[in-house]
This record gives sequence, C-alpha cells and structure tokens, in this order.
Amino acid sequence: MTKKVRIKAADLKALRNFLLDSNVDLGCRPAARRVPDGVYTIALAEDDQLERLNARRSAGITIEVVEELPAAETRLRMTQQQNRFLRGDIPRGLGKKE
Amino acid sequence: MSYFTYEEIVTAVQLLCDEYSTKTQLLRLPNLSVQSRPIYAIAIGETRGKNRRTAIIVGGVHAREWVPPDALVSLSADLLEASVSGTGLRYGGAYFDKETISRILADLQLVVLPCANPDGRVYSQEVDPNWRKNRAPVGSRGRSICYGVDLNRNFSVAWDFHRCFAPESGVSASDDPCDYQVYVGPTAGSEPETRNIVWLLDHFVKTEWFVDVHASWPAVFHNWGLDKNQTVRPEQNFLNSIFDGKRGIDTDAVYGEYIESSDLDEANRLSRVMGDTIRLVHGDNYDVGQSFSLYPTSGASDDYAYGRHRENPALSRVLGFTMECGHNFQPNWQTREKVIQEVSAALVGLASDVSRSSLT
Repeated sequence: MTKKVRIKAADLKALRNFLLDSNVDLGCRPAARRVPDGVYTIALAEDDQLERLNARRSAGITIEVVEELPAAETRLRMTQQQNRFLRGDIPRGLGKKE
Repeated sequence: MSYFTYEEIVTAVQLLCDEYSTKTQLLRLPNLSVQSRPIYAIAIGETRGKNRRTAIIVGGVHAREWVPPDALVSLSADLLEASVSGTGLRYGGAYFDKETISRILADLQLVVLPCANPDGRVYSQEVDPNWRKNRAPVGSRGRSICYGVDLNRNFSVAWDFHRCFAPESGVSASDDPCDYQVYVGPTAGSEPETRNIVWLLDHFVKTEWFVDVHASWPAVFHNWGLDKNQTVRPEQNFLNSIFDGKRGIDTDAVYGEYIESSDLDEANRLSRVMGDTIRLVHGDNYDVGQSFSLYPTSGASDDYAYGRHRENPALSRVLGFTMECGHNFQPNWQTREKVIQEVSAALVGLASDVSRSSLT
C-alpha cells in the first residue's frame, strides 16, 4: 500500500543527507518547506520502503504517515469509459460566470 | 464527475475551437506521441498568431497528475464562455470582472496544451495510476522491457547531469532506463512529447511566460531549479563548462545559477500574484519561490524555457514557472474541483496582471 509520509529534520542539510539514495518518490520537484522547528518534505513510500526509511532513521529525523493512498484499483475507477463530449455538448468550466 | 480521459480532452478542445472559432485556433502539434496519438493545443485570444504576445500553459507532462489537464480544459472553457457572454469569472473568493476577461483576450494570446503526455495518461488511468513518464520503450532488464522517459528531465538544459552537477548534489535525475521515476532519456529532447513543447516555444516567438502545471506539493515555483539563484556573477551559468561538476549545492560559495535581478524580481512578483490569487479561492497556502530547494533538477521545462535566451540572445526572454497544484495526484471529486478552481484562478490572475501592464 502506498503511503504519503512527512519526513522532517532539523535543517535542510540533515534532510538532504537522510534522503540521499533513499529512492523514495519525492514527486515531480523535490521540495522542502521550512517550519519553526525544522524543515520537511513529503514523499510517497511503499510499506517496504517505509520500513527501510525507519531503519536508517537517525536522531532528529521524524517520519510520519499522513495518509494512505487509495488502492490502485480504486483510483483506476475514477475515470469513465464513455466520452462525455461525444454528444456535442460544449465543455463548461468550473468558474462561475457572473 | 470523473477525470477526463485523453480522448475526452481531445474532443473537448475540438468542441471549444468549433464553438468559439473567432477566438481560438486549434493547433495540432508536429509530433505524434510515442504510441502515435495526436496532440493538440488551443490558442486563445481575439487575435492569434506566432507574433502575438503569448503565455504558454502546459499540463499533463507527468501522467499520474490527473488534475492539471482537466484544469486547463476548464480554464479554456471558462475564458471563452465568459468572453462571449460578457461576464466576469469567479473562483471561490477570487473574482475577475468582465473588463479583465476582455482585456486578457484582447492583449494576450494564451496557448494552452492541456495534455502533453497522452500515452502516459492513458496508461496511468488504465493500468498503473502511479505512472509518471511517457511510454517509450527505452531498455530492458532481464526479459522485461523498460518503458518511459521523464519528460520533465528530458529538456536540453543541464540535461547531462553527471557532467553538470556535483556528485554529492543529489540531483533529481537518472540515466537508468529502468528507473521508475526520473529517467532522463537517451539524449536531450529525445522524446516527441518534449519536442512538441520546444516547438511551441520556437513557433510563438513572442512568448514571455511559460507555466508548466504539475501536482502536488502545493507551490508556485520559478527559475532556477539548477542551483540557488544569484544576480551578480553572470559567468556562473549552466552553459559555462568551467563550472561542470560544481552545480547543485546550496550551501557552497562556489556556484549559484545566474539570473538577472530584474528577471528575478519579476519572477518573484508573478509567483506571488499566483500564490495570492490561489489563497483567495479557498484559503489554501501555496509555497512561492525558487524551484531549487531540496535537490536540484536537470532538464526541466521551466528552466529550459528561461534558458533559451541565454543560449541564443535573439530569442525572447521567457520567465518559467512550475505550478504544483493541490495535495494529491488524484484527489477525490470534491477536492479535484477545488484544485481546478485554484489553478484556473492563478492563471487568470497571471494573465490579468501581465495584460494590465502592457496597456499602461
């Protein structure tokens, strides 16, 4: 199961060193956000990756699971097979016209 | 409501161009995808053409990020409907009046490529929702064929990451064709989907802004992603081989990527415009700043767009942005709609800002 995890360190250098060669999924641009007590990033990790991350965790590094992603099968059901525009209805955006 | 399939995106774009023919042009891009799918963009504006002042907006480079293509279809439909019906546009707490919408379409051409990587989107929606790259067969491991190039590591800006970056930089790139995430491809610009974006930048010669919409940090990033920015040492730039092997370390004094201070100020300002507009929509707080933070990236579209005028001063200067929208790659319906509104508002906010400045 894929988990979204928040990995926090005291500073950017410590976070960078911890994640180097970890092979976790850091999304499209590996980014970090500063918070009062350190700096964190968000990663996606499978259960085995999470175990490995926790095993190599050093002092000052925290790893918190913030969300479990829906199973792949569930996400694959979020599209439909029929082309809803084939009837010729003009697409409308989600902005309110006012 | 469900996410758009690629077929729906194509049909939607064609319908918009048919319905609003005086304000649009359908652009069939020169390269089919690896799996031979046609790829379309839509040019929006009262006047269109290669010499119009242009903002290029791209989505769907990364297959698993399902919101951006839907958002760019929605944005295109909104702008066209509001323009024709003479109304303003509201996204939550962000409102743009009808004069603003008219001004945007009168002064600018928006070239919108909703889905740059159709093969990846199809595979992500039908087989593997975590799929990110295109679907080029690129190598093998044992009896298995490996597929996919990360298009956002395939552009010709510091593409040769082994040469360009310091070994300890942790640059987000891989030369392993079987890398699941960030394989850079066999050569810079090797992928037809990448070359379509290059073509847009080549063709629309007065492009000034380039926004690549991704998910899901959330943030509005601007150049550079290669190293920390600096504004005083122009010789420290990605083209200068003297600094090969030294890039990508944020704590050193050896190298910083040069950006002109006026460009940096404008990139910062426009990023804030987009971030502030997003906050008005539903209150979410996007990060705003340089795209280099945790690790550097090579071969990314936003840096390519901005780097072009460094390689060839005859080309227009294009400020590059990457918008990372929302908090998940495939949020539920309700959240999807909120994120679409955020993306739309940010881009209308950007267009509003730059169109205003051109008329004063």
